[in-house]
Amino acid sequence: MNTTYSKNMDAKTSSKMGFELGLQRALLIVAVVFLIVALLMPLSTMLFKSLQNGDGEFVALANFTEYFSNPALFHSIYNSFTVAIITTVIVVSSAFIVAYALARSCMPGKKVIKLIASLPLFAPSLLPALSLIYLFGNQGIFKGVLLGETIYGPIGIVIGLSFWLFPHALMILTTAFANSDGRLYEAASALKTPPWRVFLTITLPGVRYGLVNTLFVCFTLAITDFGVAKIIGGQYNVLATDIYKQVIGQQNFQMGAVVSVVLLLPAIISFWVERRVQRKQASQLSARAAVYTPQVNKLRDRLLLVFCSLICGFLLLVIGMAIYASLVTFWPYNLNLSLNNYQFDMMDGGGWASYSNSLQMASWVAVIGTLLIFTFAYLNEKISTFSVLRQLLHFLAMLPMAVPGLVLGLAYIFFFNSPSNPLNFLYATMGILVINTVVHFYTVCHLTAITSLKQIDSEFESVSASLKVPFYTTFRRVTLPLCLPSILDISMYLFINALTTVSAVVFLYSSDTSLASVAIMNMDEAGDTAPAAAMAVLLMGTALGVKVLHWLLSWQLLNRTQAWRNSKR
Amino acid sequence: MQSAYLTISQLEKRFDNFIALQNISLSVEEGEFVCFLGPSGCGKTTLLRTIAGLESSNKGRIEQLSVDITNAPAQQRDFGIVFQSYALFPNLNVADNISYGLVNNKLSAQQRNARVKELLLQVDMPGIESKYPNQLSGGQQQRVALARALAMKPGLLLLDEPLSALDAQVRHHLRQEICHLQRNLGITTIMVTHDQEEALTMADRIVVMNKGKVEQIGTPQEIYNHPINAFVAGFIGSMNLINVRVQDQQHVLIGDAPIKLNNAVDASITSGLIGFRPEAVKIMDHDDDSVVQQQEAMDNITLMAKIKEVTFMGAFCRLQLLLVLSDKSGEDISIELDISSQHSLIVNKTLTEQKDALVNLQIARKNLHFYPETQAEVAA
Amino acid sequence: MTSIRKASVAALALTSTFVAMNSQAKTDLTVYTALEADQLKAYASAFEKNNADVKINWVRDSTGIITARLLAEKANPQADVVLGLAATSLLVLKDQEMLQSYAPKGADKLSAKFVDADETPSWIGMDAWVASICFNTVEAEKHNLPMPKSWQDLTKPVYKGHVIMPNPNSSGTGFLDVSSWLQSFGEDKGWQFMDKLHNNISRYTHSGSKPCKLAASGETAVGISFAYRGAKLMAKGAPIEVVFPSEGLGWDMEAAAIIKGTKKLEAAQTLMNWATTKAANELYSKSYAVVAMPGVAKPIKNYPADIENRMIDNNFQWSAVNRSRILKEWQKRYDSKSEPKK
Repeated sequence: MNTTYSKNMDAKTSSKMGFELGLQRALLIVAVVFLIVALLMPLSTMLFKSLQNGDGEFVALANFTEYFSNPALFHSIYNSFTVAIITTVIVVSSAFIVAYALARSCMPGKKVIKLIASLPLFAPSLLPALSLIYLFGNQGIFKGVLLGETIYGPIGIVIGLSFWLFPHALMILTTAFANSDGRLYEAASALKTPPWRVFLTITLPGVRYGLVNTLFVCFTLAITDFGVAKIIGGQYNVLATDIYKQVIGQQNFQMGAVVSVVLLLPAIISFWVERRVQRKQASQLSARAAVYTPQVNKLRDRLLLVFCSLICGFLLLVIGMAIYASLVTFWPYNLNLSLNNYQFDMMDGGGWASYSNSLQMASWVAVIGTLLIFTFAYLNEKISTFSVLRQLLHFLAMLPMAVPGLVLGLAYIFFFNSPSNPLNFLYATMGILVINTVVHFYTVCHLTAITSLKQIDSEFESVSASLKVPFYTTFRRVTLPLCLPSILDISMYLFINALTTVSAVVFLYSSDTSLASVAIMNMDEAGDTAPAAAMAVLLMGTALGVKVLHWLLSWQLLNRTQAWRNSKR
Repeated sequence: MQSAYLTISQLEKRFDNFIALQNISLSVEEGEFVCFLGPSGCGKTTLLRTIAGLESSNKGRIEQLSVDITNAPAQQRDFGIVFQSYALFPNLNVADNISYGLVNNKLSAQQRNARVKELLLQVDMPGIESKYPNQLSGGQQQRVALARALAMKPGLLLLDEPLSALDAQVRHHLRQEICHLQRNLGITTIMVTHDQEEALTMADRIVVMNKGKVEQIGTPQEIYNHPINAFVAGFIGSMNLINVRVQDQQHVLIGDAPIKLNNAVDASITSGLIGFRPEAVKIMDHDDDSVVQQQEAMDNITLMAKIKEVTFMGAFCRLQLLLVLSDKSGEDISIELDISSQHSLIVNKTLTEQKDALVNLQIARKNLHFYPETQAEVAA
Repeated sequence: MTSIRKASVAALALTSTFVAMNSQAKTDLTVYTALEADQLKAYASAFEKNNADVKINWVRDSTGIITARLLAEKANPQADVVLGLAATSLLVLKDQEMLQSYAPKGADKLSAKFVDADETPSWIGMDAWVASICFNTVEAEKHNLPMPKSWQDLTKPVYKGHVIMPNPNSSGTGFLDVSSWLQSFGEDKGWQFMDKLHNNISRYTHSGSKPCKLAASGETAVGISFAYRGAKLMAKGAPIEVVFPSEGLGWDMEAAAIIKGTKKLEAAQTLMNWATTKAANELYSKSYAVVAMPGVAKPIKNYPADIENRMIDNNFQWSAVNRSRILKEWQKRYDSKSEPKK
């Protein structure tokens, strides 16, 4: 052999490069295949199911014809829209005022208000519904407020959803307000513009994208929510409860699939509009501007404080009532306080085992989900080749946000329980719950990861290539440490949502993998409202506790590993 | 014949329907400092990234030391690169940044430290090993980035607008340092810039690019003194460009005034641009007739112009002039030139007197450039 | 290389553990059930005491969910045995040919109506639970409601907005109520009765025990539910009375069956044999006033003694055959105008 040393080196590096490229390609394919198998194929199976009869024969649109010829069923479409629209209007308008107060007034106590307003994020959506039973039910302490109307129906659904959606709306709107340009206000006051015109010509246009975005997010969440309607909806049928009734009550899987398709449509449309608006907003934001400093205006500040206090009071009332009710021995005939309702092993729903299952599942989701989603987002954002695959990956990553949890759960039954599916072994295991939950909450995490990856100089990969450092070394040494804060956020988001979600997993849990959130629903369904409230309170407490832990941990961790962030010249 | 260090032939790069690079051919000699110069979007950065292997090409060939590297990934090519954004890893300190690539090289920690020290000395920043990038100024960061790019002793140094993000003073200083370093190390260097002054002062040769094509390659002097076409003429330095019609093979018309050219014009050409640098213009009082006639014979041309605007710029004043021609078409032809603030025109006249004052402009015929209008440009 | 070796060692260890576990372990029998959580332990330990080589793994959920799951898993059944599921549900499964027929030892000692009529029965009954009304006396006093004596009483205008019953579309108990009214009143009169009842209903629940629990907590005065739940809540101190309407009581039984295609047929048959024994029936009788083996049942507190005589002659076959027709009709009549009548 007369190969020279340097040629040898070349051969070696070239095979290493080939390995790197191959690894990137392989990882990308893994990512795409994961989302196809865990999202696209179940959804397609469900679509096919809606076109089949009970024996699996193709019947075209016969199921849909049947659906729309049954007024009992399609009336739910009207109900769903009614409830979703009313909820959206209430939530967005009140969240708008609170966000305005937080950003544009000198109202005292902003921090406390922010804190209280974020509390519903930690509660399962079932909690407000249960609490409302004790507040406004037939034995409720404020029953008179409803003037003879029943809480079991649209009123209850709207109030319950409003509680649950409020922090979501507030978060988006607060961001929108924070991004407005302070100099416009200075210009306006220099031109002696009256406050109402300032509001109409500067404030409102400044947040209009955020506002539209909030409208659609709230609408989507409201129309697809299952938990609140299930518990307090009474006779008021909505699409989400219809799916559950068709599948669980009547074992009519085809009709369940049909209703799922019907529910999928408004969700996808609303999602599509929201994404378009989002894109516009991003381009508007690039022009950075001065920060707005609000001026004192005693009357305005006082009025806003009163409003915010009312909102916070309502939020605290709902949470407080749930806690109180969970401690009352036998509502309303024995008001002595006891921990009887926390003896979950005596009730339906899986008892304390379901609580530990939930903790287990949430931990798995947080760990596996963060790992997968962040790695996939990295491939999507930082790899320069295979653009078609990357575009496909991005599309698939955005899709879960448009798919209601209940629909995803049903799709999973159809797909994973088919004996011809080699993945059948996952059915009725913790594994399927983890995968399903990761996919259900994929999009928000993906976007968080992408945003933080975009903030990293895109030339790092080029520099590494020029220094002949493999991409995974740069991923480990640079990308991961830089993104650590958002990685921690993603894991927290996944944990809390996995702990509190009901909709996606309600079709998928098995007796060994019963979950606390589902147990709440089952206990309520069996009439054990107080233990259900107790479990909801327990979950909320757990979520809050973990959040505090997470905060302490990340504070510690960031202090230790991120010295470079704080160092000054 | 000794082949060049880097040879690019007929390179082409497309993004969908947009042609980013079109038929690029050039070569870079060993140890040479070459600048890619052009307006933003001209493809200069794309060309640099293609040389680095950070972008792929659709057609053509790149050879480094006679080895075809057209399709080799960046990791297989031999270069160091510095970006406008510095691209220092913010979570690693200076020493770790510089030795980032050295870790693979099976050097002992001691050897690595020694190399880092040596590099920091080279970029004139000794002793800052343990600092983090955000503790350094922009200029300091760019030096560290330069040290990192040089750490692996690459044969080719690529600089992608390395000075653009820095403020004027630092930029000036670092410009000289990069030049010194490059000459001392003898490293073949390609720098991308949109700043003509940078290119003129630093480069051995300049590649002027526009719309994905190479317009001219040459030394700074060649480029400045003999811009090959109107684009180069307009882009490098300032150049007054005036539309002309061709009268015959020796003469072109500005408005209705015939101008005699030194070189014959191809018979097929009907129109074009005539260009001259501001410093080639001598400005004289209008009534100084004797001088005009006397000089006319001596290969100069003279144009009459009216002062439209005078802007005081400190050491010099900028004049904006309109040509005065007998058919009035001069009203549309404006010329810019700078004169010393000590010029009699400025010192001896009041502002109102300056305005609309008539002057004679005298330009040496050899300093006139004629750029025939090509068919393509006519069509456009 | 080392990592591959490590992995293979680990895999080997794992496989051998599996093998070891399998050779030592008893037969694991997956049993789907809708029994109450507190009954499961007693049943399993009683069974396993005599059958040490079989271990029961319960999969427990409400009737609707267990039935839905069994149907969903039709192509690939996970359960070996179903024990303690409503007979109406088992009939649906039988109709789908999902049950393995088997005549347990001692099946002949059970009352005839507790055994599938086929030559080799597909299912055997365990015990019966009866429909009844849970009536909150405190709320009744508040609203001046008389104690109802019959189903027809519930259609009186005085009860308007005070009655809650399970939705037959989602609850087994709800369907049992509807099908027994149709059987005992006749179809036309049955629907007429329900039309009037509907005017008084404040809402339909998805679970059969919930109306009684709601009555117990005062959310409603009248809950149409089943006797077992009512008796239990009375024992807990809820201010309710359990009313057994005079027209007769609809009922359903809890039954057991083997799922076709089980790989553990022998163990499954062992469990079926146990479920037919006297000892098992004595266990059932702790919660239910009526059990499959005649003469075993003994009176239960808060239950009338003659309850078996008050049960209507329930035709399960008819219910199963007409199930979807009845549900569709019910939905058309009562489910479309969603808001409760005021």
